[in-house]
Amino acid sequence: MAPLAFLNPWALGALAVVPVLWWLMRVAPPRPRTVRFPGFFLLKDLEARASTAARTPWWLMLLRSVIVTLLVLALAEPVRHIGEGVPGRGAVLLVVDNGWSAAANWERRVAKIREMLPGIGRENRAVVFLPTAPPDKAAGPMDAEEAARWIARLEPRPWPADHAKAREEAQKISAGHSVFFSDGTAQADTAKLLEALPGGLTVVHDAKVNTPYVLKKNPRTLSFTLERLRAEAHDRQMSLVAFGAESAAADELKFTFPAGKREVNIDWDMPADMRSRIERVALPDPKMASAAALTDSRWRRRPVGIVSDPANRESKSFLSEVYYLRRALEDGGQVAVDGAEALMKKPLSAIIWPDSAALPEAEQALLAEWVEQGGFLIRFAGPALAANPDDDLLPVALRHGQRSLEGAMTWEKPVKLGAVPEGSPLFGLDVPKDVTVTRQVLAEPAPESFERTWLQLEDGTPLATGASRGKGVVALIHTTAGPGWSDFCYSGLYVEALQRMVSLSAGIGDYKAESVLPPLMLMDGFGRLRAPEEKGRERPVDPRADFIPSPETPPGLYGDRREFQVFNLGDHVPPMAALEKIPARAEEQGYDLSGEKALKPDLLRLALVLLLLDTLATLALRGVFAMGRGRA
Amino acid sequence: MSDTLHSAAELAGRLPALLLEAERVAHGFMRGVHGRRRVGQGEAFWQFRPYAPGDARRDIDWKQTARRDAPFVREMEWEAAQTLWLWRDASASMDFSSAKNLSTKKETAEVLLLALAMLALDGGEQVGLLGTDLAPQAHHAAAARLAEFLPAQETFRSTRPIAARSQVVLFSDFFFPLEEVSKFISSHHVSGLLVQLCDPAERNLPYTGRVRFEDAEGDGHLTLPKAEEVRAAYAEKFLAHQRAVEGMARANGWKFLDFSTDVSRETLLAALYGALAEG
Repeated sequence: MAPLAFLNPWALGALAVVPVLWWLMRVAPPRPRTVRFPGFFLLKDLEARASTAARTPWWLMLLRSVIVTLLVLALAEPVRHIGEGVPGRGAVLLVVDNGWSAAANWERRVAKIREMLPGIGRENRAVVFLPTAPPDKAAGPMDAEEAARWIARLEPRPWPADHAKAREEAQKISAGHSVFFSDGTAQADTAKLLEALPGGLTVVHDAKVNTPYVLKKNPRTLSFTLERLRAEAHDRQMSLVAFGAESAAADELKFTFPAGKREVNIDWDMPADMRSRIERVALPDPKMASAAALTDSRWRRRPVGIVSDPANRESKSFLSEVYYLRRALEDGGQVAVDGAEALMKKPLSAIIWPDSAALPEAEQALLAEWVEQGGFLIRFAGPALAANPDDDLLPVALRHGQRSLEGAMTWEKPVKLGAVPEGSPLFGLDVPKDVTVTRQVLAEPAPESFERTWLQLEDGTPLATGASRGKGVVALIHTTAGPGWSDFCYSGLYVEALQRMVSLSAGIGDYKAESVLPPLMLMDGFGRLRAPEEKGRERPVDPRADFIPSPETPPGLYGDRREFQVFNLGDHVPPMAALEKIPARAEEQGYDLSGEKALKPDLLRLALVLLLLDTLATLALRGVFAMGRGRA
Repeated sequence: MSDTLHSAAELAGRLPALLLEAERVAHGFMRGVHGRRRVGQGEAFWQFRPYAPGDARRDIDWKQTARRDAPFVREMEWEAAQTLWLWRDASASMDFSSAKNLSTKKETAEVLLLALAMLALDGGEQVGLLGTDLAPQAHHAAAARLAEFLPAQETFRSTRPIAARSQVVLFSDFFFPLEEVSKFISSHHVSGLLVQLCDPAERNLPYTGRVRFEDAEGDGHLTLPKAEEVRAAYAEKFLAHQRAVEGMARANGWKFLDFSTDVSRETLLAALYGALAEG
């Protein structure tokens, strides 16, 4: 690899012109500026006092010589770091891996191919491309210039490459030499593909550029497993970025991929409010579909309704309860207060039913129906419920009468809160020590009531219970929403528990759609979101069958805005295997660039700029820009 | 034929512009000065004053005398109908300006000439153009007629007699042999004013580098490799020439004014008027 080579060295002979030009310019200076001057008769006698020799300024001569030298050099077509070219004769077959794992450092792959093209062009050899991922087909033969345009359009695909099919196509192509640009992964048929490539063989692969990652997301939480192709000798500092709407980066998590490991687990403890805004989590580098995970509906913001009954909408106890509920939910999302029937018509994900809102039976039936369909109902206890505990719309059966822990009738002290049971969806929240409950409704002891307990008092009696009902959930807080029976509503736990319940509202239980889902938002090979092509080849997916990423079903979000399901590429790819077996006849190369660069365009550009300078200088010498031009 | 038509049209287009500019310059000036503000033999009333021995009887204003105890005399403003002879140099050297925002010496001279003529006509004086067939003009609106004859003016040698009470004003750069002027001055016994009008570039030779100078009259050329080398020497020669012009004026009792085209025309006109009014 020579540092500098000339493609037309004979043109350098023209440099002999430069000294001739120098001499000519010395002999013939440029025209001076001319002034018609009335004071001429005064000047006439002064001529003798002036110095006589009129010459071209030395800097102008230098400038012009440099311009001519640059032009001659450009004609000689110098190339820096010229590559060795492709061995053999005849057409060159370029096999390019462009399945999902090729997205890692794709630009470098393309740069390597582009660098190889001028050398092929100089030998007047044709280029045939064979991309390995469907639906891309072999292209060519074409010349090197067209090949440069073609490779700029090629993209990695968010599904696996198909080396078996590539082998079939390769057998139909005749070429003097083949170059395989590997992404570093091997499939069952890779060895056969390499055998089938015509002519001599060069395999381009290295561990620096071929670094595919696979990100698998735990379906319920923000925890991930990140896998890579090869273990590395040193710890690698990496980060995950969470993107909100419009692909705006919302948060970043730094982590270390430990040395010697091929996978790492990542738990992201993200604030609940931010969690609901996240659309996608991805590695910022390398950008690839397998390292990007769309999040699903359960992290989205959910609107909440509070039921009121028309009769006592203005009553003090209702207003007080609504006041505390609103304050708790304000930064969690929108809160609507209305009658049950009106709320049903709104797209709500959770409804809160405070005790002071007495509902007629018809409205209770509506509410029960809404829960069956997948709604999340949160009820609060109070005097009304205590008086009528035979209600059907409850997670646990209630005992008659309420428990009062204060006053003349009882001897027990007000009870503090106990630890949150481990199986509870509210597990992990901080329990304040100073909250006391003076009254509550009691659950009828039953075998299932333990596992339905979400919060409990010190003595083990449930404070919050919840149970699935149909597709939905009913939860009951066994005390009042306001300060009537306890000071629970003053505590931070009240706020956190309500928000946690609302954030669970869209996804209690494993939700599975039952009809086929049309594509809604799809990922490209770099993990960026795109809309489905109109009249494209993409098809709806059946969520009950296994998802297989393919040109017909790319990874992404399927369904409509109400009911949708995410299919991430990372969850649906087979384990990665590194390319190890390379035929003995093959020459191996890395993705290092030789830095080959044709210098002709730069030389011409520089000469043009200097030529402009020369024109300006010549005009200035003639006095175009100065004052003192006589009128004709 | 078409040449004549063409130059006539050009003249027709040029005349009003010149006149307008002259009027603008003169008008701004007239607001300040009006009449001679002296007692004299004019037609305009000046003042009444008590009769003094020696006053002519026909000067007594009988109406005023009847109103008062003593006789009163009516006095008129002094008016002298002089003739002002004007000339501007039209040689090729006058057709020069060194910068786009400067007008040529000739143009400046013509505007000043006409403006001065307007002031004089307004003051009741007669105005004539040296070297033309036009008789001296006296009425207020004669400026247009003067402007019409101005392009025909070349030499200052007059075809008409110049009366003794006349005043003569010559506008030129005096970049020609001074004997002609000197002969003219000494052959006419009139008072006068030499106005030397120069472009700033003619005073200080601001050119640099290699410059080829050509004579304005087509009288040869020379190329200087570095124009700035001779700048000081040139300025000296220029001053010497100017002193020669001034000396010639003084020797004949004439006045001399040194004008530049980069000075506002109002200022130049004021200086011109001041110099004439002094005597």
